[in-house]
This record gives sequence, C-alpha cells and structure tokens, in this order.
Amino acid sequence: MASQIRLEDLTYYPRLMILSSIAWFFAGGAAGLAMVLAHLTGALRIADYNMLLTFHGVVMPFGGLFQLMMGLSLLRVGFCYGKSVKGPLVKASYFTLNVGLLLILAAIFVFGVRTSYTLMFPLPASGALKGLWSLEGLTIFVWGIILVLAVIITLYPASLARLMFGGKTQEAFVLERFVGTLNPAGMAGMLPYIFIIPPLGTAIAIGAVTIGLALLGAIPLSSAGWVLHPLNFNYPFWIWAHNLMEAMGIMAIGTVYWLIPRYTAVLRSSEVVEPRLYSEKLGIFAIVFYSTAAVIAFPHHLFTMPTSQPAGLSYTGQIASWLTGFGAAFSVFNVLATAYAFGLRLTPASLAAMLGFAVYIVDGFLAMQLGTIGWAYRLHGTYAVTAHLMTILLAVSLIWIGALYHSYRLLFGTEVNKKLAYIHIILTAVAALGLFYFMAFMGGAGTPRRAYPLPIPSDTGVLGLVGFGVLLAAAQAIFLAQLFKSLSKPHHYISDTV
Amino acid sequence: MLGTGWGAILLLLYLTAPFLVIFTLLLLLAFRRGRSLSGAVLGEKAARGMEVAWLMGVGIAWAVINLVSIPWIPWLQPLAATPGQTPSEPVQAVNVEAFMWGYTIDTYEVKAGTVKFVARAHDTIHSLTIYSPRGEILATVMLLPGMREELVLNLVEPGEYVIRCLEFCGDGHSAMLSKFKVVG
Ligand code: HEM
Ligand SMILES: [Cu+2]
Repeated sequence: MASQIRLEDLTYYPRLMILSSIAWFFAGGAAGLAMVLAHLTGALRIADYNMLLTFHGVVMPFGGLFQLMMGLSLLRVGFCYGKSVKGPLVKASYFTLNVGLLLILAAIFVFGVRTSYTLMFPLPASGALKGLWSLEGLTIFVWGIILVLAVIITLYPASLARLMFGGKTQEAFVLERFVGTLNPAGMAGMLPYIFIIPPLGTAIAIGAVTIGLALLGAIPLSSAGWVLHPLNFNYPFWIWAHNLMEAMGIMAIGTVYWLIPRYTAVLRSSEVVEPRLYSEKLGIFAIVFYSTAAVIAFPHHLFTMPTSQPAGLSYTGQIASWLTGFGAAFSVFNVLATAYAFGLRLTPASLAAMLGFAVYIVDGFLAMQLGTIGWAYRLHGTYAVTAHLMTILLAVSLIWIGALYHSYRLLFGTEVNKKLAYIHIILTAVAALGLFYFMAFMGGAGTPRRAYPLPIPSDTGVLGLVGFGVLLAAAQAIFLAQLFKSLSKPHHYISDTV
Repeated sequence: MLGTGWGAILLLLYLTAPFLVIFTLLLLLAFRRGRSLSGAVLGEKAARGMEVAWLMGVGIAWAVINLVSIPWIPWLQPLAATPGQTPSEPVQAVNVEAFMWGYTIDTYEVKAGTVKFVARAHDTIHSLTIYSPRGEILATVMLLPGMREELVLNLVEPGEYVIRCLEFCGDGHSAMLSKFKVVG
C-alpha cells in the first residue's frame, strides 16, 4: 500500500501553517516597525498606536510564532512516528486559529478594541463602559480569543498526542527514527505541552466562555460575576499565560536537543551518522526539572501587589523562577558540550538553532532578574519587561527557523541557498540582541512600556529600536526572497509517492 | 546601587556579554571541528569535571543573588531602615486613588522619612510607581480594582517625586501622572 501514501499527506497542513505564520509575522512586524517609527516621528494618533500595539502583540506570538511551532512540530512528529498529518484535529487547529485571529483583527481595526494582548482585565469592560469601543466589538474580540484558546489548550495538544500515541506507523513516512519515546531528549520537550497546558488552561477557558456567553446574552451577566472580579481573572490568566510561554520555550529547547545531535560531525571512519548528544540523561533531566519549576513560577507576574499577593506565594515564585534558570543551565552545558566534543557541521539549521539558543539564554538572565522580587519592584511595567518578552519570542522563533531550514527541502522541494540563509540567521540574531539591550536600557532608565508618546525622553533608545528593527526587517526580506523563489517552481515539492 | 533598575541592567550587561563571547568562540570552534573531526575530542573525565564546575558556579551565583536581593524587597525595607526612624517615629500616610487617567492624592507634601502609601484603583488596572527626584523608580505597585495595596518607603532625599502609571490602562496611559514633594 506504500504507493498510496502521498508525501503531501505529511507536508500539506504543516506547510499551510508555516506559510500562514509567515504572513502573520510580516503583518505584525510591519506594525512593530510602524510603532517604533511613530516614537521617532510622533506621526500616529494615540488610539491608532494602541490598536497597532494590540495587533502586534496578538499576531506575533499567536499568528506567527505559535502557528510556526504548530506546523513544524506536527511535521516533525509526523515524520518521526510515520503518521500522516491531516486528520480532523489538524484541520480544525489550522482553521480555528486563523479564524479566531481574523475575528480579533476585526475587533481591533473595525471596532477599535485596544487593550494590549494581555487584556489588562478588566480594561476590555472598562473601555467599553467609557465608550472607547463598543460592546459589539468586545463580543467579537472575546469570541476570537475563545477560538484561539481552543486551539492552544485543546486542538493542538490533542493533535500532537494523537500523532504520538494513536494510529499506525507507516514505515514509508519515517524519515527520522526515534528510539523509544523520550529518546533523543528532543521528544521530551513536547510532553510538557501536552500534559501541562490543557489542565492549566481550563480555568481561564471557562472564564472566557462565560464572559463570551454573557456578552451574547445567552446567559445573564450576573452569572459571570465571579469571573469579573479582577483577582479571579488574573490568577487563572497568569497560570495559563505564563505556562504557555514556558511550554513554548521548552518545545524550543526540545527542538535544540533534536537538531544539534543530528548535525554533529561526520565521523571519518564510518558513513553512518548517529545522532549524538553529550548526555541523553542530562537532557531529559533538564527538561523535567525546568518544566516542574516553571509550573509554579507564575506568581512572578503579580509580585508588585505587596498587600494582595501573599508574601509566601511571591517567595515561591522567586525561587521557582530561579530554578528554571538552573534547569536551563543543565541544557547550556549539554548543548555546548555536544557541539564542542563532537564538532558541529555548519548548516543553516545548526546555526539558527545554536544562535537562537544563545539569545534564549542571554534573555534568561533578565528573566530571572524580573523574577526577583526586589528587582521586579523597579522594573515591572518598564521596557525591561518588553525586552524580555520580545527576546524570548524572537529566540524561540529563531530556533524554529532552524527547524524550518532543517525541513526546507521536504516542505518546499528545493535546496536552501545557504549563503542567503546564513545572512538571514546572523542578521536576525544580531538584531534580536540589539533590540534586547536597547529595550533593557530603556527599562533601566524607567521608561514605561505600552506608552505612547513616551513620557520620558528616550531618543537614543528609540533610535536603537528603529535601527535594529530595520535590520530585522531586512533579514526577513532576504528569507522571503528565498522562499518565493522556491514556491515559484511550479509544485516542485508535491510528489505523488514517498 | 545593584538593587536599582540601572543596577539590574548593568549586571545583565556584565554577565551576558562575556557569556556571548564565550558562546560564540565555542561555536566557531565546534564548526571548525565539524569539518575535520575524526573522533570525539572531549575526554569523559574532563567533561564531568567541567560539568560539575559549571553547575557549581551557577549554583553559587544563584544563591548569592537571591540572598543579596532580600533587602531590596519593599515590604522588608522598613525593617532595614536607618536607625532611629522606625518604628517609633509616627508614620506619615499618603492615600492615592488611581483612575482613567489620573490620580487623586490627599497629601502633596511629606517630611523626609518613612511614608506609607495606601493606594487603590477605581476602574481598571493601574499602578502607583514612584520616581525619585533623580528619575529613578523606587517602587512600582500594581493596583487591581477592588484591591487595596500598602507600600512603605523610606524617602530621605528631599525634592519633587513623580507618580506614574506603568500598567496599560487605555489611551490616557502615558499621560497619567502626579507629583508630590519631600521636604527636609
Ligand atoms: C518575532 C518577532 C516579534 C515578536 C514575537 C514580538 C512580540 C511582541 C509582543 C508580544 C509585544 C507586547 C505587546 C504588548 O505589550 O501589548 C511586543 C511589543 C512591541 N514590539 Fe514586538 N515582537 C517582535 C518583533 C518586533 C519588531 C521587529 C519590532 C520593531 C522594531 C517590534 C516592536 C515592538 C514595540 C515597539 C513594542 C511595544 C513595546 C512596549 O510598549 O512595551 N517588535 N512585541
Ligand atoms: Cu493607569
């Protein structure tokens, strides 16, 4: 029956997700550039800036990064376990996510809902009461969020789990073989997502659906009363949002563990290249340690409520935050020891994974500082926090770009132009670090985040952001040129049989 | 000094810059070896030694930073205040109400010393963030509507202090500000 298996069964939906993510990245990136240019020139109205801020904040992490991760991780599970990636769960994940994002887009640009992507609950409601946006707009916004949530906490982890644990392996699809479930350590990085996100997202999903139904008039508003209390909203929200970011980070670390061993040097003595990792055990240990600590680190988002958040919860959050850093230190050693001991072949995939990993670790130190109560009281709400959140997302994006280059030929049917890929990767890493340090310094100087116009003179900071923002855009343009060239070869990448 | 915003960012720079340099060097070395390697080059024993040294280094840094940061925690600061000021000296209280988009505060002038801020938000999340006369953030407090936060600060430096909102609260967010004076 092998002849009936089409490569498209493996690659079609992942490719659709990846291409859609790139489209969202470009739309959101343009908004980011417009924002920094507005800081330079003052050309935008405040309301328009805040719409762009909300759009950028929703689209980059969810339309872009999350969707990129979804496509590449499903593809990888598909070709490791030998399953086609096209069932109803996969299709529903793709369409629900993008329809949800389009609803949010409409709420922002048609109805002017502009709460930033963390919602700042109860701002969505207070803004409507104040007449900044309408209840219709808010309803569309909330239902868009519910659809995106549905993908994040059910459809995507269910798709992953189904591919990993269900169905029969078709040998022809097995392009990279696994030994056991956790071996190599890379696969362990997917498990926290599957097992942590659905239960931790349940509370916030129930809250969101309750609000959504109340807005539609399907249930009385009074029955949503308990959700509307800011404490009842913000704790479930941060338990979920914090762990989502951690789970995406762990996925990316898992991707480093997957890619790096495959690019260790070819041994002269034999033709066979076995993936090699300095220590398989240390890898699995690092991921388990990191995930466990991460689950209870969420109180660091609410450190700066000296009376409302119990001190014990804050201390727990601080220790847990630093333990995640300790967990990451295991991976730093493991990855560097692997590269150094076995040698690395220079390829776009290995370069992007390593540079993305480096940016991730550099950002990790700021993350731990923000996870320290004493520092959080001086940095929370400033650009230092934006520096952290954008850098971790950029680092994780870069690691996935490594995975994209790894599977480039499988997805797009042409070989990568290595020179262009190297330029793309190096410029992306440099721009990410540039944005990181400039934003961190603005934060150190006390510049408030999400503020337009900036209330504290920050000319140097803004110039830095414009410069590195343009550099980042240029790097992605190089990537896009390469991609378009591949795509324009007529259906080269669709072959009928494996 | 280390416990300020600038201190944090300087430490960040001092620790991450060498890390980046070493990482880049190791990566270049790894790529060079990747072209010409005939076998593993890192002895098991040497590797174990380095692993232990690295983890111990991280562990020590971890412990030191966590311990050093304890006195920076705002609710522990009254305990660490300059001798003779607390707790016998009567605490001055400043009540702050935050709304979209401004503050009402009940005292615009306090004496240098220990000041207790009691703050609330009316409509959505705001913050009470106090900037020293030199523009340094002394503390930021998140105000969820319905909650009441207390912050005790030791304000010794006379001059004009600025209060700003650092929690996004809509179109007036960046213009939300108030001021008060500390007199010697
Ligand atoms: C992978 C790439 C990126 C991701 C995932 C990303 C993500 C984000 C997120 C989640 C926010 C927070 C929004 C909020 O606070 O409501 C943000 C803020 C921001 N981003 Fe990006 N971003 C990326 C690239 C860029 C680029 C290329 C620029 C342009 C130079 C940029 C400029 C900004 C600005 C100016 C802010 C607002 C900062 C603030 O006021 O706190 N971003 N970004
Ligand atoms: Cu405010």
